[in-house]
Amino acid sequence: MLLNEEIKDSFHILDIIKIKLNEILIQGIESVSNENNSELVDLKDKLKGMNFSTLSELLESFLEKLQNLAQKPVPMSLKKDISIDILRIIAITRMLEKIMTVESVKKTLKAED
Amino acid sequence: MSLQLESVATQVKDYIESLAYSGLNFVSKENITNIEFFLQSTSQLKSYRLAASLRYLHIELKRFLENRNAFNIERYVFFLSNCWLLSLAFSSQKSLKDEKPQIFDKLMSTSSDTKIMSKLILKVVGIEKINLEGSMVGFVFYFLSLFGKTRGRILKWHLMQPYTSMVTADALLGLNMPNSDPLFAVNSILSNYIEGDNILYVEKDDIISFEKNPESKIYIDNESSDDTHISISKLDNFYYNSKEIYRKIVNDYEVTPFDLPVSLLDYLYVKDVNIIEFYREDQEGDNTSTIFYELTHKEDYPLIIKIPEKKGNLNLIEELKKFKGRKKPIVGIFCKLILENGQLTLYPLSIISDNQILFPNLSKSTVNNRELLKSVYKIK
Repeated sequence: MLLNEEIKDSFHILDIIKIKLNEILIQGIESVSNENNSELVDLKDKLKGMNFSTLSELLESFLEKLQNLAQKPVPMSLKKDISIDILRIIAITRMLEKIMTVESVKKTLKAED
Repeated sequence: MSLQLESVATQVKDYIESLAYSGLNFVSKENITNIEFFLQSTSQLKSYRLAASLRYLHIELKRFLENRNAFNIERYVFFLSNCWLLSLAFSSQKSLKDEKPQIFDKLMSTSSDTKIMSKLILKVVGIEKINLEGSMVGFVFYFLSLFGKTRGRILKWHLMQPYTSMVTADALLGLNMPNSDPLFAVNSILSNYIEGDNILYVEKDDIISFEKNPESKIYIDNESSDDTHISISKLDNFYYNSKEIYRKIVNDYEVTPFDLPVSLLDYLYVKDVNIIEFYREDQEGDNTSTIFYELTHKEDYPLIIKIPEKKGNLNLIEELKKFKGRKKPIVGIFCKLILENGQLTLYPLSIISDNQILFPNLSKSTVNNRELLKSVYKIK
């Protein structure tokens, strides 16, 4: 089944998010400093452009909270909020991937009909 | 009990959140013992779904700590996310239980749907080889049920053994079939119909197992032996056109936050298959390559065979390559129909050729009926 470019791009961007999240879940959230989060900022903008608004807003909220990590010791409530953001991003990315799969297969089958 | 569940779920949720924050590099043997405690508590509280997710999370964390190749980051993230979503739901479970009792039951996985089937008649129509290095080897047998309430359904039976470097999955076919009467080898079920009494059946997953109490009995159905026509013609019930598959997705398929990225839609019998090309692709962030086979088939809606290049699949990969470019199409391939990454992909379980059901993932792709029957008589 040949996927059209737009769908391919959408899956590709979700893959990049998953890879980035995997890195964070290995290294820990404090490994994401303001200097090395430019990739995440780019992703957030791309998601916005592709109408993945929920995911883009969550990523924005996550990035905003990361700015506050400079304060030491990091308050427990901030740690919790950031973790919740990242776990939400994971759950929504998974759901989106699944919904996109179902919709693109339906579209292809309908075109064949 | 509900207060206890709420309290345990809150502890699990906090633990998962702190794990997500700190990352795997801060995980130690000591702090994963918490999961063992949660696992015990959630099992006692009959929250089986959360208990199962915690168990798999624990397995992945142990693999990570022991620096084993079997550790898989995707699997870790999947179970981490499932544990968080479930604990989030149960940490405020009083309202969920009252407002949406059906969803609560589903998340608890408490509804028992196991039954003892007094009689089943079964024919193997597919085999999947499992080789979890360092853990388990074995098979999943896909039986077509030919009798009673389950007639026409595909029932799965797992034959698994702990991994040792001495035992290959194929060697397990020479073992005695559990509960067989008189005893016969497992490979006899590849070419014979079998009849079973008192078989445990899990309806939700279409899984069967053979029990001690009440004791299951498995017999070879000699009358139907060698007659593969019946089961092959029954496979027609799994032949779908694009409209029927579309309806399946719309009516039967439910997207939930707990889904794996790869999910089984149904079984499919694909006819008149020509394999036109195959290629290997490496997936980003995954150590395992995948072999893709482009094909044409009778209906010609887009399908592609996709097989991960794992030890258990090596025979299957090689056997399928042999069909590339043949003038005569393959009569049929019985497959798992999978939804993945915007595509319908296939995982072959058997090939139908010359009125025979062949299992390409076994070391010998053609089952020699005579040799098998001889071995059965020898045991008798």
